Amino acid sequence: MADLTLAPRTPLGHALPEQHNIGGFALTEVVDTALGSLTVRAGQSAAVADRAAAAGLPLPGPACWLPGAPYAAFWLAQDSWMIEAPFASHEDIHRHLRGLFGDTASITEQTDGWARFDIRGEHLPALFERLCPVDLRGLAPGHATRTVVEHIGCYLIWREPGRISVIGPRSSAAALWHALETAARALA
Amino acid sequence: MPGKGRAWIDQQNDVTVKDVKLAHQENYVSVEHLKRYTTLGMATDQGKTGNVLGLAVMAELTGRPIPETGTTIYRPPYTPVAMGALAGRSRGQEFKPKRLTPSHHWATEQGAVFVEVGQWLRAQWLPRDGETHWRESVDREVLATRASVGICDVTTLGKIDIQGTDACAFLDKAYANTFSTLAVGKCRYGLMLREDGMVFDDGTTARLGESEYVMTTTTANAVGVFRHLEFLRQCLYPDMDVQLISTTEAWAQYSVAGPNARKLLAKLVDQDISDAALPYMGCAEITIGGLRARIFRISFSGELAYEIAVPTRYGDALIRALMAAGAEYEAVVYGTEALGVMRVEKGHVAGNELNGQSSALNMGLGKMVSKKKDSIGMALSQREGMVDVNGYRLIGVKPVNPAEKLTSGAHFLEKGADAVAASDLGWITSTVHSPHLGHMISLGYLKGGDARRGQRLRAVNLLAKTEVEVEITSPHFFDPEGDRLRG
Amino acid sequence: MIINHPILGPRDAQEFVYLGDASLIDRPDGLAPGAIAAFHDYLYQRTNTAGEHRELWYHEQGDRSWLVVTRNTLTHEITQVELARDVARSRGRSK
Repeated sequence: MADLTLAPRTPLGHALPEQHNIGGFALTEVVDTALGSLTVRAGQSAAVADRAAAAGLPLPGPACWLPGAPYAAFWLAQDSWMIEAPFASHEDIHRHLRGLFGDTASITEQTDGWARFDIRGEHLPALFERLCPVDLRGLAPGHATRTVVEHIGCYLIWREPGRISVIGPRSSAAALWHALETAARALA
Repeated sequence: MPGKGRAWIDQQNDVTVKDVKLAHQENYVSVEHLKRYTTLGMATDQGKTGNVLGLAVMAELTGRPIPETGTTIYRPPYTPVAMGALAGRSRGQEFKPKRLTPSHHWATEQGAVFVEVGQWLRAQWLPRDGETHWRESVDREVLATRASVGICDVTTLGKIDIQGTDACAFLDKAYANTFSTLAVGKCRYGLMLREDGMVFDDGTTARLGESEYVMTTTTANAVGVFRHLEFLRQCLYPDMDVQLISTTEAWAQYSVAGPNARKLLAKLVDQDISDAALPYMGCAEITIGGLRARIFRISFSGELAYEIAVPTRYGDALIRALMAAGAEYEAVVYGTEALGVMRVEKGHVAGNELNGQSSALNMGLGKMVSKKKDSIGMALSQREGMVDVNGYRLIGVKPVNPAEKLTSGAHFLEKGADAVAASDLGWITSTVHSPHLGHMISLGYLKGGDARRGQRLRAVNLLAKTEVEVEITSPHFFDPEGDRLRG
Repeated sequence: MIINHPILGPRDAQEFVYLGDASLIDRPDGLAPGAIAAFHDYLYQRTNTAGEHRELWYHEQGDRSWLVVTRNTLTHEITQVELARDVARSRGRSK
């Protein structure tokens, strides 16, 4: 047994999240959000919908993200969502979700699987057309999709006008951050 | 076109004057027909080096001037283009993304030498002051692990979270061996076949709860195994209640191996991990300083060993805590080379043996394939050619003269046999220097190998121009009874 | 090439991984008599269709769904895209 405290590192490997302003873009490493996946078990769709509604937890349709407090969510696949909640109140979010959904859904802790970078700026369509095959011009805030940025499979969450989250695999955080910086510099 | 012998026109596509003559003889005299008949000018140079010559030959054969013979349609590049222009900025560091392990920053501080494994960078060995040759570092890491305790970052292994009321039935389909009998809190080695009966992947799967498992895959196959499992789930067993999601990135996982592994971990883990509380092949959800963590008592090195996992954000802190707690045991971190030495010493198969052409029987794991259940690949693994008693079997190899070197890729021949394919008995797949035995050892596939243990053969490598007399042995060079890992 | 995903709409074919003939859904029973011969045909015998062909695609860079795509091998025209799970159920693969 030990009197031990392990200090966390951000996905980019530092004690505190990174922040970088390039031209008209602000890139921020976001570590204040817990993530957990929720997938409906066989025959439990109605039960999951009821429990989600009771908890105020949104279950958006395909390619969508819905905000909420404390829970927001984006669609992953049929009967499957990624649930977001503030890390400060929902560290180990899988325990909260298990409590809400019991055996009606499979719950997996995902907080540490991902690096999240938020990009703010006016010219997001011009930035993302350099990064991935998603044309924001034909889409609207609330859109959430899986895409590929520099060979890295990512989720793109359009949270509000002028702000998008790129959520990519944590081990590729540095490579993804570099790709975002490079594209932003090209437009600066 | 005077002169004897062949005269080459298109150096890239091996088109000769004789080929153009044959085209003419067969009446492929139009330049477009000539091109398609002979492949003249179809290589990456698009005819820039040979087309005019070829057309001149055809002109001579048809008695026409070259302009009348014509040219094929020009395609870009019309003028030479530097390869760098085609690569754009996708070169050097920009060629592909890197995946970093949780101990990457710590390993960089230690001066680790890294190796690319897919996109991952893994520590290959970690040199210490005064070590000038990689073997010095690797030998030290192996000996220190077997003598006391060594730590290895194994985060790169694929991890798939498998849940649902049919998860256990699903695993019985995916794996050739049985998983429905696995108790909660236990791990089992799983062998995954392709439908053609060849081994696809292997790894340890742990049952964390009644309907909750975590599967590990090899680093290289993590994506392919996930895709395969989704195929089973959606296309073959659409109404099984099973849900899959990757958690490879969510956990920082370290192997802690060696006689002092338990003593070291007991300093960090909040719970009892004695042999009684956590026997060999046990697993548990535990805490380290109050933080959620997982522990698996599994061993690839053959030592008393555990894998310990924490949320990835604590991975850097954990490697530092392990090294601090391990200082009194002179703990080392070992890289992929030392890992490779220890697995060959134990006769465990890895990438070189899991080559996509080998069956469970070839690997000495034939008894793992349960015939009582319909798993993927079971039926075709029983095909006549697959169960040949004289087929390839995994064997160990050592040089008769301990000073001689073994090389992977060398083929086994009887004494006096010619070095030709008809005499070929098999080949060496993996070779390492065993610091424990003091000489090189190999694994390999040998026809009827089980019956040839103790025999002496030649290992001939025509490319390296080496020939070594070898003794065929069991693939288990070190602690064959497995006393150490149950310690 | 664009694949009209039944849930996500038109998506670039680069997001998908191709497997092969949709008949791979019709897996034989490995414990039945004659299983080796049945699996031989299942795994190795294919109809080389000139015209409408049903094939399996996996949306790896998307929602990880397996799809059955009906594609004309002469024109590359895609006439139907279904969730493989629905096809599997319709072909009697429910337990």
